[in-house]
Amino acid sequence: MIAQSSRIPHDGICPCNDWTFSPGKERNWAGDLVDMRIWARASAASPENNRRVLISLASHMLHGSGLCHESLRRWFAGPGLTCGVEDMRYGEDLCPQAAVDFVQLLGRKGITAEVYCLPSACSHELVLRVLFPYRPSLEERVEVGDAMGDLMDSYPALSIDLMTLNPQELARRPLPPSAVRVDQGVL
Amino acid sequence: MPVDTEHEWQATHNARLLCEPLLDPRSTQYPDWAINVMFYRAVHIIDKALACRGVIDVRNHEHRKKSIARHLRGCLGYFQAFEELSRKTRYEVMRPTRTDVEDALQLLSNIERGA
Repeated sequence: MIAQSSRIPHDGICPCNDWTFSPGKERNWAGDLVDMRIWARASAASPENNRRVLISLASHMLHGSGLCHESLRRWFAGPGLTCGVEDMRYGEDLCPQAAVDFVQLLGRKGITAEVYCLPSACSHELVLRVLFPYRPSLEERVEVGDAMGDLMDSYPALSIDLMTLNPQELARRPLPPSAVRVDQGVL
Repeated sequence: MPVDTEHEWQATHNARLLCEPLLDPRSTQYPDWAINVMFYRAVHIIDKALACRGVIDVRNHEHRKKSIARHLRGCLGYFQAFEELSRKTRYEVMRPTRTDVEDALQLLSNIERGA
């Protein structure tokens, strides 16, 4: 992506900074609108943080699916920075700590079910399975969901795949051998 | 048609389906489908409430959960429990019991009140 801030066209309505995705691209007003929105989001960030916008965008495009313009539209529609430099750098380490935090959140709600973490191909995905030794009541399952909300507050960059299981469900579909039990303090 | 109106239409449409004898939650022979129709009524109730708060481009459950956490926090636990129940009937070949159907009715009622 190239910033051509030295060439600032005026369309009679408002000035815009002309960004191009590739050299030689023909003028495309829809493309310019997209360019302006990327520029606006980058400009809104501080000089120290504006490169995070591009990392967030690149992350979204690489991990997303579908057409390029659809992916861009979703990125614009989403919250600001959801995947910054620090999240990218330490992404591998977020899941274990988040899993431990989840067990603690459950403990505060009085839920002592076993929690297992399943490996995921995506470093931003936390796959958790909550194993009750009995069929949990609806209230308990809702509490588990609430705890997930608290976890989302602390780890907004993570994608959380959560499932609560009772013994019958576990017997029918056991956890994979790679599942790791999460304790209060360690994974 | 405004997005919130579209979700209202779909939520009502799903409610009508639940009134059909085949899918009446209290007597159906297809409780798995009844649970899923209830779940998708809840989804559209949630999406309508989100649209009323300016969130109109909800593409998947993950994005939906993040939006619920932000705008409808009181519904997140209900939605998560409901999504799990629906997922189990769809993909885990769970055979729902009468208790599961009652749970779904309770979750739908909570979301109808909370969203």
